[in-house]
Amino acid sequence: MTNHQLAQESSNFREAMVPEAPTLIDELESSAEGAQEMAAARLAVEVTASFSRAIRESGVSQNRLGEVLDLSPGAVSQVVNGDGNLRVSTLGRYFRALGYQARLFLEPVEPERRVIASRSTCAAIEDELREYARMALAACTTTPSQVAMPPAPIWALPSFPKGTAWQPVALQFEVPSDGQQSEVRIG
Amino acid sequence: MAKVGRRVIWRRRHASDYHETIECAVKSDGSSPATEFLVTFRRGNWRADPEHNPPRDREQIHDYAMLMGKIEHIGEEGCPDTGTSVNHLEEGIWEFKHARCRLTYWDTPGDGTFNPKLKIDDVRTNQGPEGCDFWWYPRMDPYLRLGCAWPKEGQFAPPEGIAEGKTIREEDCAHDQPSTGSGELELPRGDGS
Repeated sequence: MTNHQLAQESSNFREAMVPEAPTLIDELESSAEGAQEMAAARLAVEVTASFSRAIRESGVSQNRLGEVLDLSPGAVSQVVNGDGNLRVSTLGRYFRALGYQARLFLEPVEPERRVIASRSTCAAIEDELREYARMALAACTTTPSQVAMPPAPIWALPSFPKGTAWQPVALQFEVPSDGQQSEVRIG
Repeated sequence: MAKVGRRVIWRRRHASDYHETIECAVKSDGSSPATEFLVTFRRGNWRADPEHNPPRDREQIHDYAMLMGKIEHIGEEGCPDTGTSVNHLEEGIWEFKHARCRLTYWDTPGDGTFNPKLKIDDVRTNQGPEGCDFWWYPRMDPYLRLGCAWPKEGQFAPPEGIAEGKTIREEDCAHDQPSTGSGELELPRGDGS
C-alpha cells in the first residue's frame, strides 16, 4: 500500500467516524428549556395530526362534530386546526365525539426510563397489533416475501411498549408449504 | 454529490420516516436566507414580525419550537399535520405556515434536479404519501429544502417572495449538479433533464 493509499484510507476512516452534525432540532433540544419546548411542540403537533387522522378515519365532518359537541363550526375549526395546545378535557371530548378514546403513552427519552402506559392502553395497542397481524396474514399469498402489508397503524409497529405488564413480543408469520393457513402467534 | 454544506433542520432517524433530510437551501453566493431567518427567529429578533414570540407565557409554546415541530412532522410523515400548516404557492414552491411566519420549501431528489410538485386538484388522481390525511398534498421527493421567509401581511403571498423562492431553488439545486468539463455548472431544468 502506497503512502497515498494509506492517507486516503485513513481519511475515509476518519470521515466514517465523524458523527453527523447536529440538526437545528438537536440544537434546540440540547438545553433543558429547549428540550421542554420541543417536547411541548411535538405533542401539540401530534394532537393536531391526530385530529386530522380521526376526522378522516371516522368520516365525521367538522360541522357534524360541532353539532355533536353543541359548538359552532368556527369554534370546532379553531380547535381542530389550531396549534394543538388544548386542555385535556377538550381532547377527551373531541376525540370521543369522533369515536375514539384518547390515551396517554409516555416514551422514555432519557436513560433508565421505561415506557409508561396504563394496562388498558397496553391492551388497546395489543388488540390493534393482533388485528394488524391478522390482516397481514390474510393478505399473504404464497410466501412471506409476497405479502402485501396493509398500511401501518398510526403508531410505529416496531416500537411497541415494554412495561411491567408486558412480556417481550414478536410477530411470527408462518405460511406452511401445503398452503394451509397457519396460526398467527404473538408472544 | 453536494458541493455545499447545508444547515440541516431534520434528518431521518427511523426506517419509517418519509423524507431523508430537511435542509436550508444555499444560494449561488453561499448565503442561506432560510438559515439566517431561523437563527433570527429562534433568538426572538425577527424584526419583520415584532409580535412573534411575545413575552414568556408558560401557557404558550414558543413559535420557533412549533415551527420545528411542524417541519419534523412532515419529515417523518410526508404530509402536514393540519390542512392549514402548509400551502402551495406556485410551480412546486410551498410554504410552511405558523402564526404570521411563512417559510418557503420545495422538494428535490438530491441529484441537482427538481420536478415541481403541485397541489393535487382531483382527489381521484391523488398519489400522495400513503396514509396522508390530505388528498391534495403530493408525494414529495426525499429531500426538502427551505428557501426564504416573510411575515404574512395580506391575503396573498408577495410575488417577490415567491420569485425569490424560485431563484433560490434553481441556485441551490445547482450545487448538487455534477460539474461539466469546462467547470461551469449546468442549471437544472424544470422537467429534471
